[in-house]
Amino acid sequence: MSQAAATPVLDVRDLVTRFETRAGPVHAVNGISYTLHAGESLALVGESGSGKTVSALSLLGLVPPPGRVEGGRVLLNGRDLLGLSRRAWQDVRGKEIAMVFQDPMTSLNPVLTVGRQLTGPMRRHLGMSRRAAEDEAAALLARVGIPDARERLSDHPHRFSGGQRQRIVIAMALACRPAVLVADEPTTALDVTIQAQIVALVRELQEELGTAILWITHDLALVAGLVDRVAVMYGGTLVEEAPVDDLFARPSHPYTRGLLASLPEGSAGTGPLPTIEGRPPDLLDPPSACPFAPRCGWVEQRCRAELPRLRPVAPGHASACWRWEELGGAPGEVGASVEDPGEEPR
Amino acid sequence: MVPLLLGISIVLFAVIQAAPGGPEGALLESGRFIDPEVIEAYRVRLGVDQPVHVQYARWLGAAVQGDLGVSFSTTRPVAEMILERLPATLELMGAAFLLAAVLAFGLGTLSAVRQYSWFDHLGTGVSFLGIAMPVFWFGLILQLVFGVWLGWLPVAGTGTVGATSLGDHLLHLVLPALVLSFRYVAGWSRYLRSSLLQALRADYIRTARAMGLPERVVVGVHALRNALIPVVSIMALNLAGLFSGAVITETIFAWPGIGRMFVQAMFARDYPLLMGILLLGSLMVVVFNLVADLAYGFLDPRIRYE
Amino acid sequence: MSEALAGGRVEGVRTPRAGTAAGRVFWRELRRHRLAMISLGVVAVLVLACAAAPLLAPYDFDAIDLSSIREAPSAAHPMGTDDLGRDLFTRVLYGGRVSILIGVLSALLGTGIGAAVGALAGYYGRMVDNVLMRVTDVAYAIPTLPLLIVLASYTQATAGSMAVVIGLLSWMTTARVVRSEVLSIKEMAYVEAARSLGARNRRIIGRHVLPNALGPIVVGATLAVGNAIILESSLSFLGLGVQPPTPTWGNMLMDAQATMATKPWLTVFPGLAILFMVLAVNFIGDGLQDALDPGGRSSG
Repeated sequence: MSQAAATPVLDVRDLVTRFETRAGPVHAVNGISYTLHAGESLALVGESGSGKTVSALSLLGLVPPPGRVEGGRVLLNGRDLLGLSRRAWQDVRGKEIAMVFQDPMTSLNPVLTVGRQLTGPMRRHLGMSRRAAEDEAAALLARVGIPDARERLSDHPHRFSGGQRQRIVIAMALACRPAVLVADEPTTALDVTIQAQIVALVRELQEELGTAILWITHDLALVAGLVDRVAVMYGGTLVEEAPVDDLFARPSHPYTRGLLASLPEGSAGTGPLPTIEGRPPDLLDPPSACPFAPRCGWVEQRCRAELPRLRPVAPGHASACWRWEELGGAPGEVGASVEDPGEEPR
Repeated sequence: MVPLLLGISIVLFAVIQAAPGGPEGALLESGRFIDPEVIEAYRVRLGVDQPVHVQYARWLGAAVQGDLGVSFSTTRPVAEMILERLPATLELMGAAFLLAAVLAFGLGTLSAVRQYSWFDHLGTGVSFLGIAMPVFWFGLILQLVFGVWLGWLPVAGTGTVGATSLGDHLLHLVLPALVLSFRYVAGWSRYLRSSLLQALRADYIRTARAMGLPERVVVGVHALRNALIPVVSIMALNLAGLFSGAVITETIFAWPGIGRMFVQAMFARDYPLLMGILLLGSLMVVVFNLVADLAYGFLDPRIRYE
Repeated sequence: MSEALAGGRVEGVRTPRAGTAAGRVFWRELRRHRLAMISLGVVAVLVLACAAAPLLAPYDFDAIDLSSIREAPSAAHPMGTDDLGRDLFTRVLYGGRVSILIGVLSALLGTGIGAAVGALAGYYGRMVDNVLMRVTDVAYAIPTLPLLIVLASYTQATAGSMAVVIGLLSWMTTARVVRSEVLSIKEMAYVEAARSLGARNRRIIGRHVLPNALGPIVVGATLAVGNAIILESSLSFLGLGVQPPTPTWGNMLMDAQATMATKPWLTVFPGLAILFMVLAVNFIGDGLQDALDPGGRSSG
């Protein structure tokens, strides 16, 4: 898990993705950059509308029209994916980078057997024969915890529970041993108990296969035990990036502090959970100022005039806030009043 | 299914009873000479003096055993006459069905995959045309263009006099089958197009693409399998229309099937024959609906186990 | 909540009310459908032209002129003449009156019957629903045209009787559609009403069911007009509908078939009239459907 001189498996630089709508261009992703090394896992955290899912889709070239990746580079093992031909994309997807989506009830084709869906990518990417692919598929199913794997290959998705279907999807994604797995909120649609199981499963598989994982979520607590680093996204940009322990110990952006403060696990006592007032930006114009300014308790003139970019604030830790030093140690309240600098809660 | 068949038989029996002057009354009215023995046999058979439900029971009982009565105009058993001409109609309907299925499949799929292209617009235009065009007029126009002006295709009958080759017969089949199928090419291709477009928006298609499957597999295997399901049931429901269309098509192209026989029987007020054909047509529809249900179950695994 | 029900805006149901936001969306969407708008114009022109036939037609529809038999289209006879020297343009106009009238009347009759059957089946449910749906199944199973042919032969073959007979065979689709609308409305209104209004349940359903199902009913009726015109013309073509000398678009084609090779205009013009009318009506129906359901939520 060394982050040192090894070439990152995934190197995203200034990714920009826009949607041409009738109301104007919506800047869903506004120049984000991060890297992922082999065997590493990164959590991309943000609320709905932060652009995290769009950024993930951009990695696989699956942004639906009227969206388009407009700029930046996505280097997978050194090779820029943006600009690949359709054919080339088909070779890369599923084989070198794979994705797991949020809703397991609709992610699988209802009229094809699970075996057929599992063997499809394997036969396509690895040139396996039907026999070999079926053997491998059965092994995969067993590995992800489906009992009687061999017989179950000829079942259709509706014969499986939601949690099982998500396991199957994960198996499918990892079947060709891709270098990177992008998981877009794979547990959000599942029961809480199942969520933990899926997280554990992914962790095991990661250790076994050495896959790099990008885990997209809005639930920071869920992935705290799984990932190495966290990147926090807001309004289409990254506002903070840090190793997971550092993030919890020394959050260096007001939004991050707000997120952490609103976690049930982190609150002390029985008072109401703090919330972040206000709503996410509508992303219609490219931000020329800090996108969080309208909701920030530490906002000042400079925040509204200049867009802060990610700057290192500690080893491996970056923040996009002009006032990061003043934010203090433990996470606290963000503050409702916009002009108030906000207090340092205990 | 049995209640349905019973219901159909009741309705058809009622229709015949409703003929002005009663079923045999129409005979006498027609002013043609009909062998008195035939009339008497008909009366006896129907038990005209008996109460209605007895008549019905007797008629039904006979029909179930294959006895559909005797034709007024030819004094031959109706069942025999029908069986004679049935193959020709089945051939026409079958050819039209196949043609429509193949064309609709191609048109619908291509239109969906190339949505909003000129091909798609053309296809939609053709579809509207096909649905709005009266079958008989389309037949007439094709006869005019291909038979008279261009002289490429024959316009009547199942074969040129004296010729017995399959090729000649098939040539005669082309125009009638084309005419009969047009309406359904239009309807089915439109339906397939929208069904396929809907299927392509599904999440599992996104998964398939994310796994790097080539687009032709995504569309051809993943999307189509789902999209075809509702289309198949529409195809079965349209079979009733195919039979109706055959009545007209056979008349225009002098195709010797039961459709043509039906129209001729109409002018002759040959009620036993008319009834027999109506009954057969309904039976065909019911059978094909059953087949469609089975096909649906076969195609959609979710209901297979119900 | 009771206010919403009283105002007729049951959530989730499609028929937009005039003056509401949904109503405005409907008209806007309809106007955007260019083809439907053009078709409305076409239908208006055709209907008005045929209705004004006595004024517009240069000749009488049965004015036989044996000196001008079978003439090709010319200045004096824009669509040519037929076997008896009658001006085709005139006959097409007059024929349109009959054909369109039959089409509209039978569509109204069929839709009316269908709406009633569907509403009853949906509302009363259970046994009534079962029986009515069986009847509908039977009606679907018997091939329409052959049955129509037999029934038509029982009548006097006037425009009115044709309209009745065709209408009697066109109710099934509307019945099914209305039934499913009623079922879904019943479910929603029932839940709401059961909670707060109790006994007023029935009245609410009676007062809100049909208005809310009106959208699909109107679409069905529009498409039924086209269907009926085709059925009527098929019947007349076979010689079983309205008899000459009264022209209908269908029976004009019956005469034309024999001489089609040498006098194509006799076949082309009446057929084109049918085609344009039905095409336009179908486009309107399509536009209505899209305007009622812009997201394409319903199947197809």
